[in-house]
Amino acid sequence: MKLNKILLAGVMSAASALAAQAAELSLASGSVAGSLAAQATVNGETVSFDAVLDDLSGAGFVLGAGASDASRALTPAGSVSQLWSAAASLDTTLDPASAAFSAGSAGALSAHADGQFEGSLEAASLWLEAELAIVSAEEAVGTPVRVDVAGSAESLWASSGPTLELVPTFDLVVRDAGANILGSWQGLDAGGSESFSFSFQSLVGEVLSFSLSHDSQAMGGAAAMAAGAGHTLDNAAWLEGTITVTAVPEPESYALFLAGLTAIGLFGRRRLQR
Amino acid sequence: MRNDRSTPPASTCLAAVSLITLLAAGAARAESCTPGSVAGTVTMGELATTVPNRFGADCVTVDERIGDESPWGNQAAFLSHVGSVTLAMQRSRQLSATERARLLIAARQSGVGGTLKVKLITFNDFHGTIKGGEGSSSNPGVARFATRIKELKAANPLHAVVSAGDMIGASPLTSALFKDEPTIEAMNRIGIDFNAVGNHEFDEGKDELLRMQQGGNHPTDIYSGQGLPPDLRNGSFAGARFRFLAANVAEASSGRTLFPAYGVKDFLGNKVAFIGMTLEGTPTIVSPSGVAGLNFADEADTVNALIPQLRARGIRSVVVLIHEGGIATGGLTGCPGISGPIVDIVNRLDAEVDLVVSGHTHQAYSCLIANKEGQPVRVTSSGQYARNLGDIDLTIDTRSKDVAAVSASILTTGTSTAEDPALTDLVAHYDNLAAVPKARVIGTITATLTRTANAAGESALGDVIADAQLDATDDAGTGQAVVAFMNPGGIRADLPFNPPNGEVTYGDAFTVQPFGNSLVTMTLSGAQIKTLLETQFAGCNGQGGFNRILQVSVGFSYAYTEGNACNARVTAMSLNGTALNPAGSYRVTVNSFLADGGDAFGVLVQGSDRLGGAVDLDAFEAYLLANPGGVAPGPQNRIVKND
Repeated sequence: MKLNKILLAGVMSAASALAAQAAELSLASGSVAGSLAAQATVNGETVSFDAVLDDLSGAGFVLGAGASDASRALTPAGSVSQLWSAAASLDTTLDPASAAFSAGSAGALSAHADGQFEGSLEAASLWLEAELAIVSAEEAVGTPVRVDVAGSAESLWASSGPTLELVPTFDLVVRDAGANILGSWQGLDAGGSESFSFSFQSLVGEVLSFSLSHDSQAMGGAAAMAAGAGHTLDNAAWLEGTITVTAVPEPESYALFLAGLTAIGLFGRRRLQR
Repeated sequence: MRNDRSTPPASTCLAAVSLITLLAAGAARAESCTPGSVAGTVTMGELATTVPNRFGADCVTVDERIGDESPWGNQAAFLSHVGSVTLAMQRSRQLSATERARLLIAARQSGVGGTLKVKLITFNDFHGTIKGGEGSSSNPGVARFATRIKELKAANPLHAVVSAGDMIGASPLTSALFKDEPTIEAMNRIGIDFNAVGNHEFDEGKDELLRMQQGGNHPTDIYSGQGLPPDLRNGSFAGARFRFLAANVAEASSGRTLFPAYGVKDFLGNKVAFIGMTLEGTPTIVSPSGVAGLNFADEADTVNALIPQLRARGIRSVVVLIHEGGIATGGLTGCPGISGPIVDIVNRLDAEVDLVVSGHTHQAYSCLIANKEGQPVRVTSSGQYARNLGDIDLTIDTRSKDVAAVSASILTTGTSTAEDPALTDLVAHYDNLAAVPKARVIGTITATLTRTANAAGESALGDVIADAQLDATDDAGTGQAVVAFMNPGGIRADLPFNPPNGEVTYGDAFTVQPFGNSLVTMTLSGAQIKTLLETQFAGCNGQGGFNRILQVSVGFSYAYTEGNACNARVTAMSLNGTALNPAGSYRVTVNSFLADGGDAFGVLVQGSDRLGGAVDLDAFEAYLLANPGGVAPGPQNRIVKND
């Protein structure tokens, strides 16, 4: 029993040595932009809407957000209204070793008029770029680290009548300083949901170039509108995830850790046999 | 796991833990409901929306899931959260697509996450007053103090509890007898973050102060390490689980600060730095042996030099915890005027400093004082002995990470506040251990001996203490002293008359003289005694900002004219009716604090033929024993103040 405890203490101290090599992600620079352009045609009359993303970034985080809440009157009667919201962010402030990111857009187009809804097109695009430096207070520049990127994305849509062709795409790419791609993920199908994860090796002192873009094309088809009724077409896409840096344990630490575990295993088996 | 002395290891994980706790609390709901039914409309921060506040299948409403009332580290964190939870609600049909779009727009418009409110709970000059009523009936004790802190913590999940020095030292017996370990253990239980060192932290020297932080029992004192099992570590005193800070105290040998210059606490990704320090003049009011080998630097210069370092770490919210203060007249609520050293210090502070938590003067105030740029900075002090605490809100701009607003009020602990049961056993434990030594009767007095001075600066208790010190050192083998001088700051409380017989307990006497100074008898010339007395007056011979009138023993008297110039105030010094001869030699007794030149009485360092004597409290006890009929307050006519 006593020996087991001593072995366990050894393994614990080896484990803490693994954890002691902390690396952090530091936001060196970032930018975000995006726009919306939408139009709908009702009874031969075309109305349009547009909006842009505002940069609301602060210390340690990149944030862009945009919105539109507008209505256009039709001649002689009726209206088309558009609700749109989009945001993209990357936040390094919550956890020194990781950055949380998200991006998404949501649009809802409504037409109210007697007659024919002749079609609509809503195009939203946003992109976020961030330079993430891998820093460490105690590890030398060039020390290997592991970078994990993981997250999920989802698309939802609905239409009260007209056909809706939706192409919601996300493109997430991490490059090194020489613009070589270290890892990437692309999606998504309309109405689908996916998880993703990838990882790669990097070094303390490296600057990762993180880019996340979202492009959404929603094409509404033609449909008749009964008197007093209307049509609404909506689409939403959302992606969220994290990028995390962890130190790669040195071979000696691994060896000690494994030796300790093996010793405990053997000792435990011997006790069992008795 | 930074290799950085200034950063407490726990600070970085706080943000994530708090957020998870808050989110978990927001989503847990056991009430029954009709899923899909509506409870009003959703409000986003201050912004009303038209979106119905529908119950989900789990009876959690839209509003509850959004959690806009919870603290958010920045706008990105809030908008990301809203984007995520509203998508899930759209998927489960708790929201329509249009409703979700409206909520996303409102979330951004609301500004939620743009600022973050952090509660600072502050105190100063606690002086080991863990037991209610000890030292003064106005002292509420640490258990009531803990209740107030607990209330503020519970209402404000993002908080820090910080102290501006003199947490220990000059403590009543229940803490002091046990080397102030009870106070450290009580603060550990309360859960505080930082204590800036004050002058009294140095009362027993550097090594003892380091032991307060690091733990381990006192090398010789049998009253050390007597804590309850949960407060000990490996059976010994555990040390502080909070950080002592000492930005302006450096070891002369290495130049390194004795404790970290500052500590950082992270609130959901918003870092606040707390720079802690004592007054530069600490060596002039602490026994020189207590500060040997240490350098004390200018307060404002020290803070200003740290600002670029903090900026480089991305820290823009800066609080200074300083054991130096002022005198204000407004009481708890206002600050019509403040004077004293803190004014000059704040006037020289970098504009990056957002709040100054001060102490040392035992005053309660909340003032605005101009910094170097002429901008007003909030400066607080929360009285003494756990009677008050500062209730301060920092509003942090989460984009710039700088403090956008500070509001402060000074609360009263109250002597009838309920005691926190988490502290009562600790106090009772030490009270019980101290009961026997404390209750021991050491003599009698005929009436309360007060330390309140008359117009000349002489007090009844001061006279008796000086007489006791003379009596202990006037014999052939003990120094042959003819006069004793006692510093007024060393008399910490009145000696109360305990009815019916005026019995004086060791506990009462200890509270009056808690420092454990020993007596020193030395030879001074009449001229040196005059210099000693001249040095009592503010600004004269290096004396600080106010008078320190020494208490004198029987047979010695003098007069002074305060309006005269430095070194021309004292007249008519006489001993037993004979004028002092400037060239004559006199045997003089003072305590070890004064003998080392404490309180700026540097002339005492020049005294020759020095002889060490008894501990001050033992001398006092012997004096009471030698006066079995009871010691009475005297006429207080030894010091005469001319108009």
